[in-house]
Amino acid sequence: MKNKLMPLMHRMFLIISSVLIVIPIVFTVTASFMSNGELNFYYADGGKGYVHLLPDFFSFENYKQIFITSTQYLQKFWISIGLCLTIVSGQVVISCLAGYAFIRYDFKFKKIIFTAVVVFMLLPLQATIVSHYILMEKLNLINTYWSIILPLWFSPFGVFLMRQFFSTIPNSLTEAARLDGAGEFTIFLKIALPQRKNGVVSLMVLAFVDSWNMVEQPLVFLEDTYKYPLSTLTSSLKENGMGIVFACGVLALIPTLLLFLNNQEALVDGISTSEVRKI
Amino acid sequence: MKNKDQNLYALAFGGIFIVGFIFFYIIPFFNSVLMTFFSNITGKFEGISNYMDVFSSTSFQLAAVNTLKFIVVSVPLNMVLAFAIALSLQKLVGKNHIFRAIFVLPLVVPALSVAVAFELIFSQGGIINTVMGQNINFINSQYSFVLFVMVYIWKSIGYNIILFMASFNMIPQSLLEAAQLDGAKPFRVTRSIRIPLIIPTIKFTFIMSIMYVFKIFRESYEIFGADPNNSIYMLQHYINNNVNNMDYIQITIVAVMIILAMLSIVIGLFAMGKDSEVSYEE
Repeated sequence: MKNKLMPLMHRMFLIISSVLIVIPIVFTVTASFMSNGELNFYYADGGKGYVHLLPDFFSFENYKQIFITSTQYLQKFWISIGLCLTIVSGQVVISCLAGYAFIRYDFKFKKIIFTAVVVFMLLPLQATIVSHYILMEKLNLINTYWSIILPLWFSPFGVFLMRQFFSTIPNSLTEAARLDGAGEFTIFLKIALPQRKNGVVSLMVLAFVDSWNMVEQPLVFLEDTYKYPLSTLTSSLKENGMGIVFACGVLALIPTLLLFLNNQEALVDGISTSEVRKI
Repeated sequence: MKNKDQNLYALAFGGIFIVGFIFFYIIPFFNSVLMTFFSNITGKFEGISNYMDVFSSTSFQLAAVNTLKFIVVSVPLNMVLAFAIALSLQKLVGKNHIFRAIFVLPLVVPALSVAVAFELIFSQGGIINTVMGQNINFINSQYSFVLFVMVYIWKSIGYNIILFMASFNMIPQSLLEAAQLDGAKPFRVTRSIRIPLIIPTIKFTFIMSIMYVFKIFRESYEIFGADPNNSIYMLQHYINNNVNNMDYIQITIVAVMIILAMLSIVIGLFAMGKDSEVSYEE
């Protein structure tokens, strides 16, 4: 009897937890299809005491607002896309090259530099953001996107992750290639990278998600509010009507959701590999 | 490969990163730390008087205490829940991909997307209050702390679950089976075999969970605004408010404090129990 009870209990536990986790997201999506009138009816003044999930009337009013009527939301969306793609492409390229270097070659100061990489990786954003601000001020880059992009290109996390991924490539593989006369760069491009595609993909997803959701950097480095990306839109938008916030929420959700669903295996692999076992 | 060649290739592959890393991270950071020992106005060497100013500030003290309180409450909660879920997932035969995807989902969801949803669920007429029969203001009262902890766990649990699952996968199946054959009940198996074998992962999860406490500022900003209730005014808010004042020195001092705290935790964790650790990688 015990054998039948336990799996059921595990299942129940998982089902309950996952429902709890998913509710805020589902709520946002379904609420985005409710008209402002309906939202106000159910939720104004604190609400009626339950979560009204399914729309009474399916309404595209909010989406019309953000896609057609006001241009600012789409504008911010494209700003975010441009900014994130720039950040991610630079970061991935630099991290792959450097991660490979850290594991393949021995050079002076390697251990010290890598330790510094790990230390900085474990620091919260707030620890380094001021020093970045001061530097960007000196470089006259404040209020430009480069003040955000450049530090992220050299983010220690990417290098750490790629180094971990490359460390699992057996030496025999690369030695064989070298014996066959392959140059170092060829080995990197044709063997190491394809072997560890999961690592590259997971870094892309993680870096994209992190920059897509970033709030602190735009607030600190950008002065003109018209330059702000989508992630900085606050829920104070709901002064204009609750529906827009939900629709914006869905808009902001789409790219990262698609990336996530597409690359789940790689992402899980990436997170598992990011563990620091020994420095 | 000759040493000279190694250095050359290392430079070719890693040179850009190392230069950028030193230029954008190492130098600015140490420069700003150096600045904390000098006066903001006169530029004269002040020793640690700037530090004293920050420590005696009541808002700093509030922020520090709140942050500590938050960490002490939510990190263990987070880890225990993640462990339980990961264990259940591990034991589930069949499609655990869907569950896993659901748990990791909050990680990729932008703060904006769920801020209002949380506000409405926890509003004074919302479902939580109705079910509990209370009328608690979760957004701006001492109970904001509870909501904040929930949002933190909601967001970061997926990461911990994956870490735990990965470490469970590394435990040799034979070990678990042997224990079961010896008549050990499931709980005993978990307690005496699984947990000791994944201690490195537990340590790492602990550190990452603390790190995530600082990342959760984004969500807090969306739900509670830049100037939240005293019960959830944390170090990140202190820093954010001072950014607007351009008070670099104060912020860097706080950053130094955070770093020292984190470093001592990391070093402490890695030094502790090094002898008793079992390695199953070899």
